Order: sequence, then structure tokens, then C-alpha cells
Amino acid sequence: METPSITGETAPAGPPAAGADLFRLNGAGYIVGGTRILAPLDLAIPAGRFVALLGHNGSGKSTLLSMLGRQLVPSEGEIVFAGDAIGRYGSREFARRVGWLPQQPPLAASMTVAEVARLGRYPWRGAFGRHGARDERAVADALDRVGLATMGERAMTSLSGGERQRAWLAMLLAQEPACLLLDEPTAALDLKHQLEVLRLLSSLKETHDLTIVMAIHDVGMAVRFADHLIALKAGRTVFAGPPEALTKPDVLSAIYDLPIGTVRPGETGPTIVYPL
Amino acid sequence: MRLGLFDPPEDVFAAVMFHYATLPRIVVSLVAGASLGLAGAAMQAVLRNPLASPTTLGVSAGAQFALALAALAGPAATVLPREAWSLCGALAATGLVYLIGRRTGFEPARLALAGMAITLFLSAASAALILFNEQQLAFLFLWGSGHLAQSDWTSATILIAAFVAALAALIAASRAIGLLAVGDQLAASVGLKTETARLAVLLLAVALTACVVTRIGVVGFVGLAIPAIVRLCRPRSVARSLLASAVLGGLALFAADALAQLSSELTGRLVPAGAVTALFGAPVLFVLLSRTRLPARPHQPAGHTDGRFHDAGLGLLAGLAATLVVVAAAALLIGRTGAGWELLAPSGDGALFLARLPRVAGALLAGAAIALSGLLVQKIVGNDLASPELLGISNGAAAGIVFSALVLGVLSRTALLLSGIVGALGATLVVLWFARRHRDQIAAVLLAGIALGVFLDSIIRIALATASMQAVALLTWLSGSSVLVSLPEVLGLGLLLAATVAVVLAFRRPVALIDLGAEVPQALGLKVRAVQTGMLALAALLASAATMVIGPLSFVGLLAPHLARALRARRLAVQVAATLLLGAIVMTLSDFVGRVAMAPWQVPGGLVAGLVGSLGFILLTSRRRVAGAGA
Amino acid sequence: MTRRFVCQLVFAALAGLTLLAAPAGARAAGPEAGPASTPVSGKERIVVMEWAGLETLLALGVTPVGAADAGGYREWVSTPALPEAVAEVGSRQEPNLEELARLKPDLILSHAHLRPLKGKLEAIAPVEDVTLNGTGTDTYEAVLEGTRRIGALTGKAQAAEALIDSADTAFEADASKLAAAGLAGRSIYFVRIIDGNALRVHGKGSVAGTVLSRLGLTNAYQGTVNEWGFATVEPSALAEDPKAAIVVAGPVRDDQMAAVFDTPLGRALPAVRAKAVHGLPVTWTFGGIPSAIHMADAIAAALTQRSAETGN
Repeated sequence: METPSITGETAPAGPPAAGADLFRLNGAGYIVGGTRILAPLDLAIPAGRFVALLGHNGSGKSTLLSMLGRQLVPSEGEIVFAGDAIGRYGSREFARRVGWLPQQPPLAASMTVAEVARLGRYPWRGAFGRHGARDERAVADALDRVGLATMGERAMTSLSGGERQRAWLAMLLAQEPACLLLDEPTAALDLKHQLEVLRLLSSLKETHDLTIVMAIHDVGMAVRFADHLIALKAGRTVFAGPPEALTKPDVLSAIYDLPIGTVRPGETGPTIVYPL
Repeated sequence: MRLGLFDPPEDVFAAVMFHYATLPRIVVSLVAGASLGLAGAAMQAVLRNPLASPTTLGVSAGAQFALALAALAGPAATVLPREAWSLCGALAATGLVYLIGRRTGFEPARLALAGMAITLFLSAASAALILFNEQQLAFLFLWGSGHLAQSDWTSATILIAAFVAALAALIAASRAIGLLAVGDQLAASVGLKTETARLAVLLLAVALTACVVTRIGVVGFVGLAIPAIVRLCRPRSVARSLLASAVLGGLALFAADALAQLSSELTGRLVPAGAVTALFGAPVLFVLLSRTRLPARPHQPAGHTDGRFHDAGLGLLAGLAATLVVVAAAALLIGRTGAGWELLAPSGDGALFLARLPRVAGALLAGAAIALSGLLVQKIVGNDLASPELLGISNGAAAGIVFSALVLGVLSRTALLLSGIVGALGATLVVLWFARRHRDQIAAVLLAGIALGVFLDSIIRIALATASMQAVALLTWLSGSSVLVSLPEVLGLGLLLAATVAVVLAFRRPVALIDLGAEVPQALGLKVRAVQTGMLALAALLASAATMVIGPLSFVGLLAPHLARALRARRLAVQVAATLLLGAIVMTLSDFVGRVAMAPWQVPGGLVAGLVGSLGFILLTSRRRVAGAGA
Repeated sequence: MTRRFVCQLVFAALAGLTLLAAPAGARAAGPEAGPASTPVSGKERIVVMEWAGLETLLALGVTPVGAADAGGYREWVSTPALPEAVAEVGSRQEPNLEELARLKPDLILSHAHLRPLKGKLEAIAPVEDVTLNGTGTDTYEAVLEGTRRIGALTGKAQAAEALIDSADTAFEADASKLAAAGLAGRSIYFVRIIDGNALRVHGKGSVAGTVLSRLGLTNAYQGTVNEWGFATVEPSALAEDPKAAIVVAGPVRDDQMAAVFDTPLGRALPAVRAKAVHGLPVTWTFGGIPSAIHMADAIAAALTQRSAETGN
């Protein structure tokens, strides 16, 4: 007999209704060694959305993601997660609700794909808890979902870049979180694998009811897959809104300090963004 | 009237002294310092490594060791000048570091670590030489720390010639050096043979260093710190940076020697200049590390062929356990005295067996303890070149022992043991404090540990240089003396080890997670800082206890986890067990060999392990394929 | 093999527990412990851990069964000659305990600097600590006391007194020889060469210091010394007393002498200019009475043979 919730565990309270804010930044900024990295931001991340963070290098995307993932503590202001101050959550409790991946995940040279996926159960079981059938199923489902079900015994270092990225996604899925924070998950991938990963994320968002916050360089990919865009420039928010509102030449030119044109071939095709 | 500056009157000693001792000493300090600064700047430029220097690449240690060998060889060695011996040693050591470095793409931290490991190995070998030749090598203590006294112009002349030649060559090659400093691809694209050019510059720097070491001994850190300071001023060209390093290096050694002479005057004891430079140089390395971006986690090799792991299981552990039983039985039952080899009769000499038991058991347990300590340190640092020997932990223990023996006059073993533990924990606290300030750069923590180790070592050196005969006796304790181990100590060590193993295995999930660095484990809800701190504390405790038995330079802490991985012990529990067994085997065997090889003379087991261990380590490193692909 | 090993292990564990429970039992466990409280006299099988003790034993007519670094003794002390039959028991810092046990000694002559090892030595045989050098006090006083104790321990008390008397006689003879040569009160630097720019000069509290004063000479070095009675100095320190001669302890090679005294600086030292540098034959500076006598004779001989031009 198996129930989704096991005694002693707090299952995520389910994602807040779409439209509510999952994260809310109230004047949260970041300063290191006297240098301001991120201006005090007042920003909302709506729940149930696929959010893309845009902006050129050094615009503060990674810092923002790190603060959302509690890798960094804001130097000022506060961040509210699901209605509570972000620091109030226990470390494993937070990990059960938010999965975070750095731009360059570790090499994990001595680990297999399945072992990496199984790491996602640490927030649920901790150092001493026994792994049960539910954990095994979560890991198997996660591997299945990212298309690595048959590759569980493979060494991480024997995988291609796209496969490795999917293995880390499997770890995040095994965490069974409500929200994924991803720092340029496609940066090191070629076009085919970029599409592969973004399509996967897009479908995961639907099937798992996830909120995804992803930093990404490629505006074209962003407007194609994300349904909410936030653009940062020199540590400040310069845009927040739907893709349609972003894909205007004047808006994009202001964000990137470059004359940029857009074209949409046909009514249903993706918008193409190009520098002039 | 003769001023005595160029042609001193022979009957006025003060004039002669000024001309033949004071002046050449000033010149030697200026030129030797300039040479070291120049050599360091050139090395750092062509290796694109702010941590490269004659000290950190093993150049000085290689030269010094070769000279010690030549001194022992006596008249036979005089067929070649001292400079030639020293150059051979320096080239051998640097060549080794270079080969290791080339396999790792000259990654800064890794190269410096390899250099320091070889430096530490060579000081172990020097210690072995001194143990057997204390009278002949009494000079090594002084000269090993750079004694600048002069009595004629020979050294000054040779050093000036070498410096001028090297400076001219390097300035002439400054454009090529500049290209190498920017990057190999760019350098190659404009037609520079990068490997040849880099080797040529390194050769020049090594030769210059060897010359300095031959003349005045080992003066550490000038070659590291001075170019770093120069870099802070952002010189506009390579030629300027080389010149500035030379000028500043000269002034630095001059000041250090003045300070050394002053303290000699005040204390009535001979303080070598090299000891002074190490005192101020190690903190500079500390500062330098905090400013250098180092890759947080160097890439590790893949170790598989068909994309799957072939894990060693119980078979490996059973094999290792059987080996350990055989080795321990041999060590317990076989002896060698002036009467020849002896096999202990099973029912026979119980007293002899009892005398041997604590020693064998002590070596066995200490080997296992330092091996586990090494495994923990390697997991925390994420670098398979890390070990307690390199983290300054063992040096901390040694410094504690020397301090209480020389300053407090304590000779009781229990008191020495306690002060060793206090020293090791103190050193670990400093490293931890550093780690706390540099969260993301755990490789920097490792080098900080090395810097701390060198700093403590220079203090030990000063203490030993002035402590005469007792120094040699202390050296025996510091090289590790399983002879002194008693059964209660064995029991204590065994309990400590058992408790630590239990803790590590109970917390195997967090310990395994630490292997992934800090970010991902933290995102998974692990209290990374607490786990790292706890593991480091355990590692320090194990290392200090083991240091008392096998000394600070056994390298078992470096080698045993390496071997375990090479034998495909991958899962943590298997890895811990294999590491413990391997450490125990290596150390038991080393202690046994040290006991019987030169009987009735005894070589401390820690030294045997250090010599064998570094050899194995070099073999491992040279066989290694490094996974080049990033994420 | 394995079963035998297990038996041994069990035996050892049991014995170890006994040892823990009653540390005093350790001595009884040693088969050669002998009657513990016998007044020490007439010990037959002595092993000595240090050269000063060794030369004293030999001078008293007692041949030990074993000595630490016997090879080194032959090179650095040399007299009284050490018979080949005496077994080597390893280094002076870390003697080989199994070799020691094999020799089945009835007395181990150790010293304060090996105190950490004492428990282990006592498990083999009764241990007596006699420290002749490095005590931080007047070394010659320690040598006299140590010699008497060694005499008492070996039943050669009278021989010990005779040895001490012979030293006094030798000092007096050498002193009058020196006085006759007009050298009374001459100041002397007594040094050992470390390398071209470092020397050990013996000062207050050293055996050499006492010998110099008993010979009616003046020790030219008056600076601070360590507990062994010497200091490490640079050659220029030997110019402080311009009237002093320099005596170099042996064994010393010509190239070592040249490295210190045949440099521009060395040649300008007052003693070198006055041709008053004397290399001695093998002279152990941390020895007992025999070394002191030998040292006195060597100094007197060297100084009175000035015309032979020893130094340089």
C-alpha cells in the first residue's frame, strides 16, 4: 500500500495556483566586496510559468538565480518564497520544493547516471533515512522522463553533453520539486541538444506542473519556449512580461544596446531575432 | 692613504673583513635575490601560473638534495663542480614537475601541488641522509636555510656572471615570453614553437636557481612573492616586469639578510637569511592565494573504458585483508640482528614478540589512520593530490613537538603527543579559518595549508639550526618512531581509528555528496560547511595521532586513497575499507623494511614509506589520462 | 602460518592486557631481568648508548658487549680503541632494541637524551642514565660525576678515581710543558669546522673550555653558548681576540681547513697571519675523561710544535 505522502515528510504543498507569485523579491540586492552586483530588485516570479532570464554577461542573471536557490544570501532586502521568507525554510525542506543547478554541474567522474539521479532523494531521506520503493520509483520515473532509463549504469563521464545535462535534470526531477532554477542549461550544448533540453523542460513544465526559472542567452530560444521573460541590465530589471511584449525591436535594442530587428515568418512560426 | 675598498691593507682585519666579507655579502644578497626574483617572474610568465616559483616547482629542493649527495660522495664527486651537481638535481626535480604539469595542462594549483609534493619528498630524503651521516652533514641544517656569509668574492663573481647572462637572455626573449604569457594558441599562431620556447626559458630559470642554491643554499619564497608584488603594479611589458622582479628581489633578500644578521646579533645564534624569507614569504603566498582565481574542482580522470564502472567488491577487500595478514605476520615473526635473519619460534621468545607487537601494530594502525585522513582531505578539497602531509596538518604536529621539546624542554612521550595534537589542531584551525574566508576556492585552501606547512617548517628549521645536537635526536622523533609506541598507545590509536571509521561510514551519504563540491550538495539541502568542518577535524585528529608514529612525511595519506581508486574501489564504504587496508599494508611493510634492511641500523618506517610512496605517486601520475572534456 | 599467527596474537593480547593492568609486570616479563634490586657491581654484559660512556668503559678496562654507532666511534673518537667483537646496536638516537635484547645485557648504560626510550630499554635490562654531555651545566663536572658513577656501576670505582687522577696528572704535565714553552695564559679559540662560513666554537661550560683553563691557557671565546657549551659562528668572529691562536678539532681534512683559513678573509685572520692555526688529530669534543686527556695532549703538542707549521 503506497500513498504519495509518507509519515514524517512534508510533501510539497502543491504549487500555488497559476498566477500567484512563487518568488517575490522586495528590494533584494547583492553587493560583494563593495561592488554592487545586483541593484535592489522588486520582482515577482509567477508560479506555474516558464520564466526566462535574459541579459548579457555580467547583467546579474546568475546572481539572481543563486539568491533564489539560496546559494547566496541577499545583502539587502528580502526574498519571499511561497508566502514565507526564503531563509525560514529548513535546508532539506527547501530542497524538496526548489531544485537548483549551476551553470557547470560537477563532473561527477566516479558516479553513474542512476547514482546522480538518486542524489535527488537526499532532501527526502537525509543522511540516515532508508531508501524505499517510493524513492526507487521516483528515481526510475525521473530517468525515464529524461530518456535515460536504459543508461542508468553508464558512467557520467561517458555521456555526451546533452545526455549529461539530462542526467542532472533527472536528479532535479527525483527531488520532486515545485520549481526548477537553471543557470544557462543549454550554454555548453550544440543546437540539436539545446532544442532537445528545452523541449524536455517545456514538456516537464506541463506534466509535472513545474515553475521553471532559467537563465538563457539566446533570445530566440527564450521567446520560443518561455511564457514569461525578465531582462536584466547592469543589475537592474529592464523588462518583465510576456514574449510578445519583448519581441519589439526597440525593447530588445534597449536591453542589448544593439540595434536589433525581429521577423516572424508566418502567423504561427517562432519569432526570429537578429542584430542589425 | 688606502681606503681598503679595492685593495685592503692585509694587516687591518676590519678592512679585510669589509672588503671580503661585508661587501661580497651585500653583493651576494642583492644578486641572489635578483636572480630568484628573475627566475620566478620568468617561470610564472611562461607557465601562466602565479604560483610557479623556484620553491613551488621543486627546483631548490632538487638542487639541494643533489648537493647533499655530492657532499656525501666526498672526493669522488669533485670530478664535477658543485654547480653541475646542483643543476642535475634541479633539472631532475623540475623535469618531473614539468611532466606532471604537461599532463594537466599546466593548471596552476595542480602544478604547484606537484612541485611542493616533490619538495617535501626531497626533504624526507635529506632527512634520511642526515640520520645516517649526522656529522658529515651537520652543515645541511644551516645551508639548507640559506646562509649568506662570505669570505671572498668567488660566490659574488659567479652569481653576477650567471645573473647577467640570464637577464640578457631573458630580456632578449621577452617578446616570446610575452606571447607565451598570453596563451599558447596565440603564440603558435604567430609562428612561435611554444613548447621549445617554454622549455628554453624554464631551463634558463632552473639553471639560474641551481646556481644560487649552490652558492648560498635554499632561500625560499623570494621567487614566488616578488613577481607577485610586481604584478600588482601592472608593469607595461614583460621586460619591465622581469627587471622590476630582479630589482625588488635583490632588495628583498638584502633586507632579509640584514634582518637575519640583526637577529643573530641579538640572540647570539646564527639565523640564516632563508629562514627569514620563509617567515615573510609564506604569508605572502597566503595573500596571493586569496587574490588568485583557481578552479574550484580540478577535473578528475574517468577510469572506465566502455562507459560502465567495473567496481571492485568484497574480492578486493578479502585480497587486501589477506595481504595485510601476511605482511603483519612477516613483520611480527621475522627479525634481523647482527646474528643474521631470525624466524620467531611460535612457542619461543614471548618477550621478543611482545616487544615487537606494539611497534608493528602501531605502524599498521598509524598507516590506516593517515590513509583515512588522506581520503577525507581529498574528498573535502576535491583534489586527489591533497593529503594531510600537504595541508600543513602534519607540520603542525611536528611544530608542536619541536616547540615543547626545545622551548619547554619536555621529553616525556605523552606530553609530546599532546603538544603534537595541539599543534596539528592549531594548524587545522588556521586552514579552516582560511577556508571560511575563501568558500569557493577550496584548492586555494590546500595551497594555504602548504604555505602554512612551509611557514611552520621554517620555524622548525630556525629552532633546529640553533639547537645543535639535540636537533638530530629530534629529527628521529619527527621522522616517525614506531620504536617508542607502547601497547596503551596502540590501544588508544585503535579506538580512535575505529570511532572515526564508524562515524565516516554512518555519514557516508554526506561524505559522498561532498565529492561534488559545495554548490550542488547545498542545493540538495546538505549543510556543506558543517560536513566539511567535521571531516577536516576528523582528518586532523587522525593525522596528528599518526604523525607521532610515522612522522610528517610518510605520503601514505596521499598514496593509499590513490591506490584504492586505482584498484577500482569506487563506492564509499569499499573505498574507505580499501584505503584503510592499503595504508596499513604500506606502513607495516615500510616499518618492517626499515627495521631489517640495514640492521642493526634502523630507517624510520615513515621515511621508507615516504621514499616508496612518492615513487608510486609519480608512477600513478605519469600513467594518468585526464578527462579533457568539460561539462 | 595463519593459525600460528592467531595463537601468537591471542597470547600477545593476553600479555598486553596484563601489561596494561600492571605496568610493573613488564620487567618481570623480560626473561633476562635478573634480580632487580641487586646492588650494582660486577656487571658483565653492558651495552652503552653513547660514545662518552663507551670510552669511559673502555678506559676502565670494561669491554661492553654492544655499543651504539660503534662505527662512528672508530671515526670520530677512535681512542681508546674499540675491539671488533663489540656489537653494533644501531644509531645513537634510535638503537635497535631487538639487537639489544639479543645481546642479553645485564646493564644498559643510557643517558638523559634517550629518556623517551627508557621504558622500552627497561623491558630488556636494568637501565642506568649517566649523562656526561649536553646537561647545560659545567660539562667537565658532569663528566667527573658520570665517570665515578660508571665506575661504581661496573665495580671499578678505584679505576675511575685513578682515571680522574690520571687526567689531573696529564693536565698538569701538559700545562707545565706549555708554560715551559712560554705559552702560559695564551688565548685560544677551540673550533670545529661545519663549512666554509660556519664554525662551532667551544666556550664556557664545554669540556674544551675546562681543558684550556687546566692547561693554563685562556679561552678566547667568551660569548654565549648552548647547553652543549658551543656556539655556531662565522669565521670573522675568530678575529675578535687578535692575539689568540686557533685550534681545530679533528678529524679535519685539508680542504675543510682551506675553505675557512685559505680565503682572502681567512688569510687576514690574526691567527692565520701569525701562523697560529693548528689542526688536531681526531678529538671528540663531547667525550669523557679519555677524550679530555687526549684533547689536552693534542693541544699541548700542537701548540709547542709551532715551528712545524700545522695550520695552513
